[in-house]
Amino acid sequence: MTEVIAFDLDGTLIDSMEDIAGAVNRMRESFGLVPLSLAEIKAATGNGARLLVSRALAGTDIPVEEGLRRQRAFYSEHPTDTTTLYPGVREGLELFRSKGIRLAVITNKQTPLAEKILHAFEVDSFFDVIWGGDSGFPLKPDPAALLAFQTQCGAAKEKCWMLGDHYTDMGAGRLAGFNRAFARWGFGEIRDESFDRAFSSFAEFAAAVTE
Amino acid sequence: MERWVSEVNAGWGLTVKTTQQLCDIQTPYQHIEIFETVNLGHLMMLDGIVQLSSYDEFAYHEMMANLPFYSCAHLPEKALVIGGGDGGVLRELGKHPELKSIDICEIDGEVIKAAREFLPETACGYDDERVHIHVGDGSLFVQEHPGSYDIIIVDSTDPAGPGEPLFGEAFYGNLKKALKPGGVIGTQAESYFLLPEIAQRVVKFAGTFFKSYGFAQIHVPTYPTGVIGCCVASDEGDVREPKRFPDEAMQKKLRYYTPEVHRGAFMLPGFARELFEK
Repeated sequence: MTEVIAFDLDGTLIDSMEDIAGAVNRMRESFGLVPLSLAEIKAATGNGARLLVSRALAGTDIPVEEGLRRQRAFYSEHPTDTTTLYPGVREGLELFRSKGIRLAVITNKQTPLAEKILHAFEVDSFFDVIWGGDSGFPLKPDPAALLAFQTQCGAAKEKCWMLGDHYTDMGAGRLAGFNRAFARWGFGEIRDESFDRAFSSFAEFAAAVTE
Repeated sequence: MERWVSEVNAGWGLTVKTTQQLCDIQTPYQHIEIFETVNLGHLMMLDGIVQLSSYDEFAYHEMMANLPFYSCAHLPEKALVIGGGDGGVLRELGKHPELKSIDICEIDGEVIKAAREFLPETACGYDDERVHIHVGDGSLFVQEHPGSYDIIIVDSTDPAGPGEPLFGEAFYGNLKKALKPGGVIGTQAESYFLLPEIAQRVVKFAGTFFKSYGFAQIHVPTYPTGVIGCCVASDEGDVREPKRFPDEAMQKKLRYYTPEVHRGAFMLPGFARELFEK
């Protein structure tokens, strides 16, 4: 019986690609740069905002710190313009709660922003913890945040799942010894990581881990 | 004495003119029938379902063996066939000198006996000294052999009777555990015309456990609808692309499989693509 589920945020619980891309391109525009395509920005995501901005400014002399400051400012002003919860997420979270499963969001995004977005969709209260990249844990694929939550819940590893759409999520799950569920509906990449199960929808994942 | 025998499904079917019934056995698992036919050579049926005819079995057996074999990024050394008691897949695997060991786990030993007696064209697969025969439940066999095989081929009957466990989700998870890293599976995945729900289910299970997966269509005139699928899956590479190619000598031994056919087999008609994307 599943006791703990750790969720990635972008590309797993929320379809946020267009808002992320919008903030990146506003940042580029503020430096007089042409916009990047959605595909280019998608390829640059998954390893935290700093690396995203660094990749988005590759080939320029623009300081990454300034780019990061502007990108964060633009994104925090427009975090949910086009972002949506993926289908089945709310119902799945309700199901997990009804089964007494402890839930965590473990994201490389900054915590206040993650909380703001989840609150906007009125799902923040489902989670025991929402830990972002600034919460004192190393970024995924480091398993520290997963292990800390597992310890906090007192759950055995075989009863813990990590759900994510990116190789950093699967890497964190692998290193933590969690069961790894790959979200095929997201916008990440699996690269050289693998998974225990892959799912095409949140509803499928919810059904599988609660059966 | 000439007699027409038929496989009938949902109001239509295949009928074949036979000249002699060679084998008619009821085992604890299934009804085995083998016929001599007017135009198709031998015909084997299990529980009234066509399993093979001499006329076109090469198509099915070559693809079931070679889709996984050439999808494997590394040179396979150890293969497992589940089902396939007629020996046809063994025969095709036996053409590859690189394989060091070929296990077969067939639940019904009577199928092997009948094949050896009446189907020499496929049962010759058993003559290969690399082949080790296990009579038993393939769904249990894979659980008992974790991390053991480079390629696993599931040449099953339909999901009714002895073949049923081989179409379950848990079985696909166990197939993955029985593979060595980078290994490949190839499983009989039914016809998208005749049994679309089963085909969809099989592909979905493969997608649940493997990074790369796809449905390869094989033209087999004596299977109802003339087409059957092989679901190929692996955690390494893109199974739709062959990683290695038959050399000239090997290609001469193959009448159906080519690298182009490998790629083309995964290019499905629109309705089938939609079926598997659901």
